[in-house]
Amino acid sequence: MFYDVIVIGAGLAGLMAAEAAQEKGARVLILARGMGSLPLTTGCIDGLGYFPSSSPVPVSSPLTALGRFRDFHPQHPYSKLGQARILSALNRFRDLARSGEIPYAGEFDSNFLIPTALGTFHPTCLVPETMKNGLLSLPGRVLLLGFEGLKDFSSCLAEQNLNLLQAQGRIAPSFRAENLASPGWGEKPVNGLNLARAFDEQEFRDRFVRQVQPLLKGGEKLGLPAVLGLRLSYQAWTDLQKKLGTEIFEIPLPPPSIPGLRLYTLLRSHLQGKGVRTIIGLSVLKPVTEAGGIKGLILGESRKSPLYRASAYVLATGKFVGGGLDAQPNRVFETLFDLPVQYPRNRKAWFNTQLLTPAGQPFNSFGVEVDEALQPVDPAGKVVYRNLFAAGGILAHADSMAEKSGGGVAVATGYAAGELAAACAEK
Amino acid sequence: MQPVSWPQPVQKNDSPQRHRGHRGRRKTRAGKKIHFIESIFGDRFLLEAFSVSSVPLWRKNIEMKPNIDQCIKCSICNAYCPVLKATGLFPGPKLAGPDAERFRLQRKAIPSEWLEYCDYCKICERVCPQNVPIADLHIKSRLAWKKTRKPPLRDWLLGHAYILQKLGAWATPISNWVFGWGFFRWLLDRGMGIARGTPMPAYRRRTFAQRFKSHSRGKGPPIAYFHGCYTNYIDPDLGLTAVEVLEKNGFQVHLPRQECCGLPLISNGFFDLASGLGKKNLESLRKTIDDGTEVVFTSPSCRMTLKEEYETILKLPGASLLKDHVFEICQFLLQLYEEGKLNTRFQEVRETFYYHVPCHLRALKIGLPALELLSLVPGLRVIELPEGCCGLAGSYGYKREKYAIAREVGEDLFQVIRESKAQTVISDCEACRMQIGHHTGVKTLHTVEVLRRAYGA
Repeated sequence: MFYDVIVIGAGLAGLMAAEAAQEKGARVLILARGMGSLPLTTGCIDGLGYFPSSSPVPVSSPLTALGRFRDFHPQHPYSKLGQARILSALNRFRDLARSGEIPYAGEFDSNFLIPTALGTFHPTCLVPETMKNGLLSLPGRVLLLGFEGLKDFSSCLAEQNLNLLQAQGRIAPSFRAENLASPGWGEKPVNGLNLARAFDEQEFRDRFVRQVQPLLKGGEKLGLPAVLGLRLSYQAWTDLQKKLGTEIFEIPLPPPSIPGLRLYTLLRSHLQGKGVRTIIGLSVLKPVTEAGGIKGLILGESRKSPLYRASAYVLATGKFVGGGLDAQPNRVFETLFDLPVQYPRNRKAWFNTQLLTPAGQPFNSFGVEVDEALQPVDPAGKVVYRNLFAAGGILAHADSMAEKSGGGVAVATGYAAGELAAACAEK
Repeated sequence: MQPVSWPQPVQKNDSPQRHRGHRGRRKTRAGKKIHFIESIFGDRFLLEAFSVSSVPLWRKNIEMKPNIDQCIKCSICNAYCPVLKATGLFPGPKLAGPDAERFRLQRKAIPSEWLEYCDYCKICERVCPQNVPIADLHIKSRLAWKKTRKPPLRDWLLGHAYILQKLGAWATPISNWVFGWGFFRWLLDRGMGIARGTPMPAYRRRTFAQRFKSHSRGKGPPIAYFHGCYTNYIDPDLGLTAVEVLEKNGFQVHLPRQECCGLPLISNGFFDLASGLGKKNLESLRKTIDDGTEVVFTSPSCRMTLKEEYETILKLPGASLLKDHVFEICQFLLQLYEEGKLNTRFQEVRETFYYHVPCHLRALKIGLPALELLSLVPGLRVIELPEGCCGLAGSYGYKREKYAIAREVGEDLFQVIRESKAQTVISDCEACRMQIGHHTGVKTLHTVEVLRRAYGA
C-alpha cells in the first residue's frame, strides 16, 4: 500500500498536516494510536497567551509580541516558521472551520480573554463563534447558568471566582449564578455529551428557552457550559440567541470537551470527503528505515503484518500525554523512530518542585529538534531522515501549557509540515 | 441497581500479591509505616505512591499496572462509546473498566450488571489515546461475575448458536418456517427473552462444507479456508465465492476441520466451553500450518477470536502460533498484490458502493485492506461510511432487553445510509450486514462478492 504522505497522529497538528498535503494533491493516510487529543482541548486556538511564561499579565497581541518573542526563543517553532506561514495556516484553519459550520472568531493579532469553568480567565486567539460573547474585557452583567447534575460545571464556583477577579479590577463584567433543574432523563446521566446531543434537538431548545426566560434579567448576557449542540452547535447557538433575545456564550468544560469533539469531527469528515483515509487504534507501529530515509511503517508485531509505505512522513504524535515522548528514570525518548530528543541530562532539571508554577514545568518543552523545514535533526544539526517532518506538540522548545500556544503551534506547524511533506513526495 | 458484593471476600493475608509485597517490603526500614498505610489503603499501588523511605520514588521500579495506571481519565472512550450514547444503564467504558477495576482489585463491591451492557465492539480500546485494554477488562470482569451465578437458558442458547444453526440447517425448511412464524417469535420473546424484532437468518439445507465436497478442486499452492458458522449454515454462497476468488489467484482451497470460533460463548460468559472449541480449532489449524499452509477468514470476528482472544482471554497454550498465519481474506489478497502476485484482470464495475468497516475488523489493526483492494477495480467507486458500530454485536442484539439499545447504537450509521440513498453497502462482517440490511433495507455484500463480480464470474 503506497501513499504520497503518511501522517502519524490524529491531533490538531496531524489533521492540519493531512489537510495541507491533501490540498497539494497528495494521497494521504493518517495512522494514529487513538482519537487524537482534540477532545482534551477547549476547542479554542491559543496563539500566545503569556510572554514571558511567568508573566501574570496576558499578551494583548501575539502578533506584535512575536518579534520580541523570537529574540528570546530563537528555537521556538514560531520563530522557525516566521509570521507569514503562521498567519496563512491560521487563515486556512478558519476557512475550513467556517465551511464546516463551526465558524471561528478572532485574529492572531489580538487575544481574547474568555472565562473558564473554574472561574479564571484564559487568553486565546481564535474562539468558536459560540464563545466569542464571553469576552472578559467588555463590561456588563452576566448570568451564569449551570445544570443540576452536570458535575463538570458549577455556576456558583465560577461566579464567585470571576467576581473576585472583577473586584481586583482584572476583568470587566460582573456575574450572577443560577442553576437549572435536571432535565429529568431517568437513568441517563446529565453530562456534557448527553446535554450537547439534546441541544441539537429543536424541541429541547424550546423547553430550555421556556425555563430560562424567567431567570434572565433585562440587559444580562447568558453564560452556559459548552454543551450547546454536538452536530449543530452554531445553529443551536443562533437559535437560542434569537429566542432569548440576548447574547449567549459557551464556557469550555473539562474533557471530553464538546467544542474539541466538534472540531475533531469536522476535520475528520472533511478529510474523509477528500479521500484521506484514517486508521486509528494502532497500539504498535514499527518503522522500517533505509539509508537515511523511512521506507514504511508496519502495523503490528507479526512479520506478516501489513506494511504501509509513503514518499514522505509527518510525525505529529504529541508529547507525553499523546504518547510521542516517553521517559525512563534516566532518559527521555521519542517513541516511534527514537529521534534525538532535547532534554537536560540532569534529572533534577526535568521538573520544577512547584507543580503548577507559572514559569511552566521544564519537561513540557522537551521534544524533537527540527530545522527550518521542520525536519528532525540530530545534535550536530544534520537531518535524521530525509523524508520525515515533525509538527505540533512533539517539537522542542514550545511549552504550550505555560505559554498557552498549543493550538497555534499545532495549526501552524501542522499545516507547514503537510505542505513540505507533499512537496518532498512530489520530488 | 443493587451493588453486588464479591463472592469470596479474601482474607487479608491470603492474596498472593500481598505475600509477594510483604516479603519485599520487610527488608526496608520503613516497613512498619508501610504496613500501616497498607492497612488504610489496602492496595499496593497506592501504597507505593505513599510509601515513606529514603529511596526516591522513581528508583523503586514501581510496577505499573499497564491496563489501568495508563488511564488518564480523559473520557474519550465515553465520548465514543455507542452503548453509553444509547442507554443510561451502562455507565460507560471508563467507569465500568479502569475505574471499577480499582475496586475489583480490592475486592470491593461494585455493580456488575453494568458489564452485561457492554456490546464488546472495542471502540473504546481503539479511541483510547493511552492504549488501555478497556474491553479486555470488561470481559474478564464479566467472566468473574458470571461464575457466581447460573446463566439464563437464553444466554446458553445464544452462546451455542453453532448447535442451533446445525439443527436449523438440518431441519430446513421446517426450521425456517418455525422461526418465520410470528407467534413462535413472540413466545421466544416473552418466554426466553430473545428479541422478536431482530431477524432470524434463514438456514440452508446444504451447508457450505457439504457443497464444497462436490466442488472440483483446482491445482496450485494450498490455502486453508476457515469459513465460520454463518457461512456454513446460512450463507454458503459467500463461501463458494471466496473459494472462487482464491482459485482465480491460483490457489487450491482446503477446508481444515473446524468448530465454531467460540466468540458467542465468550461474549455470553462461557469461557470454559469456548476454550474447548478453541483447543479443537488450534489442534486442527496447527496441523495445517505445520504443513506450510496459511489460513484465510471471511469473517473478521472469527479471525479476531482466533488471533487475539485465544491468547489474551482464553489463554490457550500454543495460540501465539496463529498470529503469523491467519489472515483476513482481503488482507491476504492485498498482500498478494504487494508481492505482485494478485490476479488484477478486473473487469470494469460501473457502480457506487458504500463501505462499512466492521468494528472487529478495525480491532484487528490491519488497516482497511478491503478499501485498498476495491480501489483496484476499474470504474468502481467506494465511499467509506463514517465510523460507527452497527449495534448487533453478535448475540447482543438478539437479547430482548437490548434490542432497542442495539437499534439506537446503530442509528447514526443507519441515518447516514438512508440519507445517502445508498443501494448497496459492503461490509466484511455478517452481523453488520444483517443489522444494516434489517434496519435500512439496503442490499449488503461481502468484499469478495464484489471482487468475484470484477473477475467476471
